[in-house]
Order: sequence, then C-alpha cells, then structure tokens
Amino acid sequence: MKRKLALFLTAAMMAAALAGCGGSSSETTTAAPAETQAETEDTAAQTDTAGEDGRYLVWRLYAEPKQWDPTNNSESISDAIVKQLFEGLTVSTADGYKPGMAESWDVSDDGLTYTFHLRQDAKWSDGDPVTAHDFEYAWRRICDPSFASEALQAMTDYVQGAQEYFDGTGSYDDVKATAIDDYTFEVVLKNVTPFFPQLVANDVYLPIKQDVVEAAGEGWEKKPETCVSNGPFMLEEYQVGSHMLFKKNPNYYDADAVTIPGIRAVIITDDNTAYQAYQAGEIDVMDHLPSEQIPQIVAEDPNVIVSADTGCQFINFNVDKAPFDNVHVRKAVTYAIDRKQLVEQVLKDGSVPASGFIAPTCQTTDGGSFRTMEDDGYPAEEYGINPRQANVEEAQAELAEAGYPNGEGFPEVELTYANNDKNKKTCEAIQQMLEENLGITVTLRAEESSVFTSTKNNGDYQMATGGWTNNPYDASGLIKLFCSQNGNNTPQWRWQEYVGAPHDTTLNPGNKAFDDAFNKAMASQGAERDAAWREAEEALMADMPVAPLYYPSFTALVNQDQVEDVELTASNSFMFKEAVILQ
Amino acid sequence: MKDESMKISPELWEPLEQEEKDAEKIERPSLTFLQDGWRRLRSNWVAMFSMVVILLITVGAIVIPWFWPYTYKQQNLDLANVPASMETYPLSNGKNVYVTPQYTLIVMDSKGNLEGLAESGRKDMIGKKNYYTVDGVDLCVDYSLYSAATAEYRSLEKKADAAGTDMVETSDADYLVNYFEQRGDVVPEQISLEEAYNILENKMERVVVTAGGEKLTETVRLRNHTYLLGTDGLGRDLFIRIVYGARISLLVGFFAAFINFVVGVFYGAIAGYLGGEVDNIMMRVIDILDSIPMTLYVILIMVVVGPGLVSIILALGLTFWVKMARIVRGQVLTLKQQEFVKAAIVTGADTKRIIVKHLIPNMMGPIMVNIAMQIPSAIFNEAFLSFVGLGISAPMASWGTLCNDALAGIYVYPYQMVFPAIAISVTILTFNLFSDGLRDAFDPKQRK
Amino acid sequence: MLRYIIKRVISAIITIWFIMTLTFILMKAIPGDPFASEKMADPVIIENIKAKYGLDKPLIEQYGKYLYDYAHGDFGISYMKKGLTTNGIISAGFPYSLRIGIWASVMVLALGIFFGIIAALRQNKIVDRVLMILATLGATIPSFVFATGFLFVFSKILGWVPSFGVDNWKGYIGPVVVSALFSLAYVVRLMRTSTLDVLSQDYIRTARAKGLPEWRVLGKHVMRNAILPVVTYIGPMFAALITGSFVVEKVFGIPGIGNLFTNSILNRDYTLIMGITVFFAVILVICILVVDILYVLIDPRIKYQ
Repeated sequence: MKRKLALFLTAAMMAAALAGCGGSSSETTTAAPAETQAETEDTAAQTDTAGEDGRYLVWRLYAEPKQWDPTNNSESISDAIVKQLFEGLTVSTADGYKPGMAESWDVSDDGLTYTFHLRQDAKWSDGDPVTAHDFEYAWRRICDPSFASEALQAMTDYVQGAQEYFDGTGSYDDVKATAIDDYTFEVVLKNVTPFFPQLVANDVYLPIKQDVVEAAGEGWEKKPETCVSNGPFMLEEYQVGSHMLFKKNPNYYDADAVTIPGIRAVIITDDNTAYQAYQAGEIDVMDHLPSEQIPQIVAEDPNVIVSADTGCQFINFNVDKAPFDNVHVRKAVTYAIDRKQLVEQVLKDGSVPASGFIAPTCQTTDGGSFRTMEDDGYPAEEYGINPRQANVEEAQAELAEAGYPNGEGFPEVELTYANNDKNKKTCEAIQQMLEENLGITVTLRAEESSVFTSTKNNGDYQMATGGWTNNPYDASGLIKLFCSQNGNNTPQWRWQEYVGAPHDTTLNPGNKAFDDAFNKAMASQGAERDAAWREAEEALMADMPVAPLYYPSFTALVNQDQVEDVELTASNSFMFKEAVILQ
Repeated sequence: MKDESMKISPELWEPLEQEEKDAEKIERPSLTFLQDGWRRLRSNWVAMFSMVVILLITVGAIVIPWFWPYTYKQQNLDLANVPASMETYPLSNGKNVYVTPQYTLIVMDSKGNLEGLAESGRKDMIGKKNYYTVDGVDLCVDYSLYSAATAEYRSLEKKADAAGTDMVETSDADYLVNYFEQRGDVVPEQISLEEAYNILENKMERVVVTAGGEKLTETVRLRNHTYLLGTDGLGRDLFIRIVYGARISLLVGFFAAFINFVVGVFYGAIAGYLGGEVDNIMMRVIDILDSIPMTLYVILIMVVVGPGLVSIILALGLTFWVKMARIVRGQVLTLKQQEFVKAAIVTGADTKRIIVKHLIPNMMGPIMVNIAMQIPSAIFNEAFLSFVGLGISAPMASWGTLCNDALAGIYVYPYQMVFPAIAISVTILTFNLFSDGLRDAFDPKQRK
Repeated sequence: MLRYIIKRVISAIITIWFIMTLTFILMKAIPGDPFASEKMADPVIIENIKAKYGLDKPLIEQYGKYLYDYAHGDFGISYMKKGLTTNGIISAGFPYSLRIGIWASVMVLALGIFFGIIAALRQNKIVDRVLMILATLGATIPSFVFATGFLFVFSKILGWVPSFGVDNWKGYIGPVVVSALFSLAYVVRLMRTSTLDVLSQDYIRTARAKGLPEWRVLGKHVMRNAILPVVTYIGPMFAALITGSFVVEKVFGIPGIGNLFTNSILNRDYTLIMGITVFFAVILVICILVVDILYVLIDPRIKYQ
C-alpha cells in the first residue's frame, strides 16, 4: 500500500510540474508554442531536407528583439527584422537608396515640402492595397502621447507639428504628414533636410495597416495572423526565445524578384555556438562573431565581411563633477590613451582609432569624408589626438596645468562600464594606460546595461564608456547627442537647463558654441552645412566632454557556398529580398 | 588506650609487587573526542597529503604575490595571449620567433625569454602576407595557404559532386600535392573527399615563414621563460592571476563551508529534532529563502554595500546553507528514533547535548559530502555573478572569472581556460579527499 | 496521515504568499529601469509608459492588483517583450527546460544510485577510487567548459549532434548530460557515504548472519535505508533541474526558461521576474511537499504527530 502511494506521489510530482505549464498555456493568447511544437519540428525537417520550393535561408539573430512594430522601434536587431517584412517610401541599398513604395517624389523650392507619389500596384500581405493613409497613420501614431513610442524623436526632429501633437499643444490632424489622396503623401519638414529620401527608408518610417493593428492591439506584429506587412516577406511563425520564420509574401509587388521561399531567423545568443553552427553549415548568415576569433576568421575565411560602422565609441566625462569639471583634466585623459594599441592589441576586430567625434564613413554633402585618412587606414592627427600613439607629454602638461603635476594629489577616479567582455577588456587596458602615462589611480565598476543607461543619463558617474551609431549620410544623427536639449547628453554638457534632465543644474558655457553651430548646420545646405558640422565638432573637442576612442567595425559571415546576393546596406543591415540559395 | 589497640604494626603490611601495581593502570592516555579523531586522521595518509596540499595552496596564495615579479594587473599589451609553451622558428641570429594566431611575430631568445612583438614592416592584406625585420633578418609570414586551399577544396567538392563520386584527383589541388611532397610521400593519384577535407582542416601547414626568401622548416618547442603559465588577453601573467584568484575563490569556498557547517547543520538539526510545528515553520522559512533567486539578493545587497566580494559573501551567507539544513533535518528525523538517542534521553541528556554529542557525529558522512560539494558550487556561483556584472570588479580576478574570460577564446587560447580549471579541480579534489578522511575519523559508525 | 497532508498543503500556500510578497518588495527595491534605453531619453515618454503599466499608482494598490491577478492565474504582461504575457512566455520556454530536467533527473537517479552503491561495496578498491575521482571532476569542471567541450567534440569534430537547438532528440543529449553532471556527482557521493553507513549497522550483520542472499540484503535492507539522504535531495534537485540553467541553455542555444529568467533579471523586466519567480516557487514547494510525504512512506522509523 505504502509503496504504491509512494510511486503515485512520484508520478504526481512530475505531473504537477507538467500541469504548472499546461495550466498557464491555456491562459495564453500569444505565441502558443505548445500547439506549434509539432509544427516547428516539421518545418525544421523541411528546411533540412529542401522541400519542393527549396529550403529557407538561415539567419542568426544574436539577441531576442523586444518588438518589431516599426512605429515603436529602438533596437538595431529589430531594425534588421522589420526591413524584411516592411517596405518604406524608399529602400536602403549597399550604396544609398532606391525608390520603394514611392515611385517618385517632388521637393518644394524651399526644400521643406516633400510630395511622395506612391506606386499603385503595392499590396499588403492580406491583399489590400497600400495607400498614403497607411503612412499617415503610422507616422502620426508615433507622435501620439498616449502611445509613447520609443521612436518619437525620428518624427519630432523632422516633421512639422509632431512635437506639438506630442506635447498636447497641437492635434493629430496638425501633424504635417498627410495623405493628399490614396497615392499621394505629403510631408512638411521643420528644417531643410537634403537626405530626407534616404532617411525614410529607415524602420520607423515604414507603413503599418491601421485596421489590423488597432484590432489586435500591442503585440500585433508577433502573431502571424495580425502581422500584415507590405515587404518581400511575411511572418509565418514566432516562438519566444527560439526562432522566427518569415515566408515569401505572395502579394508583394516585386514578388518575382524574391527567389527564396523564406527565412528562418534563429536566436542564438552565444557567439561561439553560432560560429560553430556556421562552420557546420547550419547557418547561412551571421553577425556578432566571437571576438577572440575575429583576426583568424578575417585572415582565413573568404566569406567574412568587414565594414565600418558609422559611429564612435568614447569615454564620457561627467563635466559637472570634480575632477572632470576641469577641461585640462579631461584633455589629459584624452591624450594619455594609446588608441592604436587599443584597436590592434585589445579589440583586434578591424575598428579604427579615432581622432575626432565624427566617423570617417559619415558623408559630407558632396559625399566626401569629414576625416582625412592616411595610408595606414587611420585618420590624421587632429585636436591633439594622435590615433597612432598616446600623446604622453601633452597629457602630462595638461594634468600639471590642472594642478596635479605627475598626478600628485589627483583623487582616485572611477570608470563605469556596461558589463560585457569587450567593454571589460577595453576599460582594463585604459585603466593601465592612465596609471602609466599620468600616474593617476583609476578603479573600474561594471554595471548591468539596464542600470548603466540610467547611471549615465542621470550623471551618477565620473567616467563612463559610451557609444553612438547613426546613419552615414548626415552628421546630424551622430552629433546631435551633445545638444543641450538632448536627454542622451550623457556628459551633462549643457549651457542651458533641459526639462528632461532636472538634475543637471551645473551649466557649461562651452556647450553654447556647439548648440549655435548645430542650429546653423540644421538650417543650411551644401558646403555651409559641412562647415557648420566641423564648427560643432571643434566646439565639442575644445571642451572635450568626451574622449573619442575608436570607430567601431561591423563583422559578419555570409556563407557564399550556400547563399549569394545577400545585400548589406550602407547602415550594415542585411536585406534578403534578392538572396539566392545555392545548396 | 583505644588508640593503642588500633595501632597496627607496619610489619603486617607487605609491599605489592610492581606487576600487580600496574594491573589497574590505564595503558593508553585518556583521549577527548577531538584528540581521538586527530589520531585517526593522522594515520590516514591520503587525508594528510590532501591537508598538506590545501595548506600549501593557501600559504602560496598569501605568500607568492610578495616576491613574484608581476602583479595581477600589470599589462604588456604587446605580449598578450602568449602561451606557456610554443613552437618557435630559430633564426640565424640566435633569436627565436613564434607566430601568433593573428600571424604576428613574438621575438624571444633561444631560451624562451620574451623580447617583444616584432615591428611590422608591411601588411599585405590581399596577398595575405606580413613582413617583419627582426635584428636585421627579413621575415615574411605567409598565411594565404589555407584560404587558397579552401578555394581549391571547394572546386574539388563541386567536381566530385558533378561526377557523383567520392574520390578526387590529387593533381587538381596544389595543397594536396604540396602536403604529400612535404611529407616525402609518393603523391597518390586519387584520395577520398573526406581525406581531402581532413588534410585541409587538420593536417596541412597553414602558415609559412621565410627568412630572406628561405623557407624556415626547423621548429623548436620552447617554454615561456618570462611568464610561467603564459599571458592572458591583455598580456598579464596568468600564473599570478591564478594565485590572486585563489585568494578570492578560497575565501568564498571556505566561507561557504563555514556557513554550511554552522548555520545549515544546526538549523537542520534543531528543526528535525524538535519536529512538529517548529519544524514546519523552520522548513517553510527555508523554502522562502530558497525560492528567491540569488541574483536578486545580490543586486539588492549591492545597493546597500556596493559591488564586490562583500555582497557575494553576504548573499552566500543568506542562502547557501539551505541544502545542508534540508539534508541534516532528514537525517535527524531518522536518527532520533534510534535507540542510542532514546538512551541518551533516558540518562537525562539535554537537547543541546543530544544534538552536538549524539546526532551530529552520526551524520558526519552526509554532512561532509555536502560541504565538499558546496565549495565548488560556491566558487562557480561567484563566477556567474561576476560574469553578469555583479561580482568582484576588474581587474581583480577569481578562478571563476578567469574561466569566464577564457571562454570567448577557448578555441584559440585553450591554455587560458585549462590552467584555472586545473587549479579549481586540484583544490576541490583535495578538499574532497580531506573531507572523506575527516568523516572516517570522526564518524562513530566508522570506528573499528 | 491525511491531516498531516492537509496541514502541509495549507502551510505551502502560506509559503507561496510570503514568497510573492517578498518578490514584490524586492522588485520595488532593486535599482535599474526596464524602460531606460539609449534611444529613448525623453522623460515624458517614460512617464507615459509607466502610466500605461499602472506603475504610477500607489504601491499598496499595485500590490493588491498583483495578488488578485496571480490568484486568478494571470501573471501580467511583459514590459520588455512587448505584447507577450508572462504566462505565454513561461509556457513557451518551460517545456524545453522541463524535458531536459526530467531526463537529467532520471539520469542522475539511475546512475547516481547505482554507482554510489557500487563504490560503497568496493570501498577503497580501484573501482571506488575511479568513481570518486570522476565524481569530483564532475563537480569541479564548470558547466560552461563542459558544454563548450561537448559541442566541440560531438558537434564540430564528430558531427553527431547539431550545433544548437533542440529540433530533434539528438539536440537534447548535450543539455541533459551537462545539466545532470553536477547533481550526478553529488548523488554518487551521497549514496556511497550513506551506503557505507548502513553497511556498518547491526541489522545488516543480522540479516547476513541469518543467511539472506546478498542481493536481498542489498535490495531490501541496504538500499531502503541508504537512499534516505538522497530522497531529501531529490525535491530541490528536481525543481532546480526542470527550471533550467542559464549557462546550458545559452551555450546550446535552447529557448528554455532558465535563459529567459536570467535575461529578464538583467533587463529588469519586473512582471516577468515576478511571474517566473513565483512559478519556480510553486514548483519548488510542490516538489518538497511530495518529497516530505514520500519520506514518511519510505522510512518506517519516522512518525508524525
């Protein structure tokens, strides 16, 4: 009797655990993996054995996206996903952009009004036509104060009436992104923005379908039945933490150009595991290569892609707190770092040492670069920063001028970083460089990234790592970080108070010259605009609230034996529309 | 008078023989419980040897940093990722060079004393050749072989696929011909595709070093004389980092053992012995403590005391004795029904005495096993917390974080993982053997 | 017996309520913000988002709603994974971890008990020494080293198992073996020790003296008594194994709940942390309850008032 009861209880323990899962799955309205389980295994078998239509292209995602609703995007990983599903007025390509949903567009003489003429054969994946009203809805939804989109700035920075609607001083109808008729979409801009047609290829400017979105509510994009899209692919399946399947969208206007049956996007967070899967031929396309193996992969694998990201990695100085409220201290630290060693011996991933804030890949209005590059591929010395070695003499002189000759009397300072392997190594190396070259003591503090962002925005640090990446076709996206009215102005470098940062009451007059130059640039075009950007950077580097370290690189692998014609856009995201599977 | 009559004359007494005197003497010295255990322990050479090793490691962790030429944070970025032992090419000028996995050159003398990174003259990324000059000798590192061979292999594969065969013509691929010629073998006409792949991936030479146009063929294996166990990714001495790591890891391990023994054993014993409602409440408290993930505790404690070892130790102290308490309670529930406990109760022993003198010695087996297993688990918990950014701050390192740091490069620099892992394993192994010895020495049931 | 069970169930419910309250307090006390992101700096947006999730209400009201929803089986919606419910995420990740956990538990118990007895019977012989050294190694090799090594050998070199995922049964081998390793080492040692204890007891001598065949001595007398410490360990071990491991799931690329949980903590996805913590707590409490009852049934010497 007892023994039977014991057996029963053991079984009950297992059953209880199973029931715990079953119980909650009955509640669920999303993803419902319990049911899709069998299905998943079927599709997996299909992708392995190449069915009638051929197999799906396998693409590795290095993290799970929070969401991929185009109107609420703030992550780069979701950016790559929405571009497979949706198509904007224009489409980014490897060397710029081309018409997408808009066949053509007109610009008014003052450069402020853009009229886009939409193609009439474009359809949503459910068969309805794509109209200008879909764009109008998507663009205005971003500015809805109750929707609280993370992509808000993409509208308020450019479109007239957007900020007013968000602030409550204007209304929905006052947002100057208007459907004139079904196939004409008109946008009125705040400033002259010559790169606007390029900009609208970005994720947050994509259209969404009002009726399905509103019926399904938040999370509409995660369910195949409500994720109605207008791009080359459509969502077929999503399983949390595991994978997504995108299948070819038969209603896409250019469906003939899409030869692959779909994409299988698998989430693998471990870089080593992903690289092994690539080597075993289980993955066709991946980025985020295992950092220690990049040099060999670059040397040996013909499939590797190394491309520059338009961005800059830097150290933030908290300009409101001693000792970094002294510009000489900031300059001393900036000069004392050996950027070439950092890039070649620590990072080893093809990054380029920095000599100023604006990345070399960032284009001037005539398509040139803001940086002068020398034969070795590194930029020329600028602002006293030598990208090839530490400027020790100058650094020590600055430190002495600040009142700390040879580092005497300099307080112990803390360098905070968001915890990951790369940041840790970088900061350890910098710590050593500062101790050796300046004779000062630096301690390190790692924070989880969710804490680190608030730490930086609230100015609760002395020195902190930072990085910013943006579009390559205009400097504004990069440099706007240091406007006084920007919440991401992490060094707290402001000459006037900002409502979004009530803690920042210590004002820094040096920032005014920057703001002035920035506004000048935003209002001008051509060479004048470029000159104003340079002026802004000069103002930045004169006060040195940040020490630029390096311009990051983007490394990826595309298995050319298995797939070809995978396009990498100028902003380093993949487009699989025209990809071909070889085997 | 009376006194007189009671007087006994000494002649009536006869002295006892010495032999008889000794009859009542206790031959062995009287031993306390501890002394007895120690006596048994001393006779167990495995346990004694383990104890000596543990002492050596502990003393080493304290003493070695005093005289070692490097500190745990001293970097030499030029000499990053240099292994403990390497295959080098001797040059005509008495120097030896080692080709790193990035195809740069590390120069050393013929004994293995590192001299630095060779200054790169020119890097031909397209031709996949790096040029260097080392003390007047012109060197070229040519690493184009593998990528060229990969391309050749791809065409072999396609050809074989088209022909529907598994065999490939050796003459179609230069890398195969070179491979067999270098070995001095006859070049076979055909080999299998699988073998061709094997040669490509595992057997063929991937890099050629030439000095003044002459190919260097002779190699010498040299020990790294500058850094005993090589260097890590920032050119720090791995040995001294492991020694420093021992300080942190052993501290965490010892603390875990201590908290297990003190809190876990007594908590469990009291709950089990008292039973009933007290037991129920005490065990539910444990369930609650155990349900909250340690990561959350650590995050919270960090707010109060700041990041570092203290937070981790406090979090360990809060939760790490739970398993032990459960096991001990289970044992006590069984043991307290046994005759020797009943006998102790009858003879009037109080609860404290019963737990300390009767129950705990009888549970030494499971207790020791548990402690021995909790120590490595504590060391890895510390590593995990440091890994997610909640542990000790860089550049300090523990064994766990050393392993974590090495993980990214495990395929390129496996030695960086192997040495700390060996340190952990040897330490834990000796802990285990020692605790087995302790158990044998103190467990009354094991006495023979 | 029935009274005992009822009493235990009631105290289990109270325990879970305590855990829920503690989790709620912890959530309010830890620093970090799920809504802090690089591109979203406008404080007005953050305020609006907080209002959307009811985070602007007084704490006591939030607590009341939390208890009410949980009592009805509604664990709320995730802050980070937009549009997904905590229930949905748990039911997506848990089946993988559960399958791995069950197989790992089976492996631990079957092999652990068997090898533990073998080692005890051959105390200090070569078999015993080898088993003990293996058990020690099992406990001392970090699981990420073992997992990476496993993939290297069986996936890269031999090609027997896939590099990631659990699309077929082969994908489960690695995660099951690696998860089981530490507990297996533990159970082998525990079983060996308690078997040695039992073997030196008088009743075993009696059993042998009265001429019982050895297999009956082992099966009926030794096993039954020696297994008790292991039974105590089964509850928490089973709960720990089926709730997944961050390291194992990350390295093997498995969408299990262990990985989800650690990431939700690092992202400060409050609702998800609370939901999974409570879910795990329920599992743990049930496992322990069952083990406690099992214990009374197996061990003839224990009595409950």
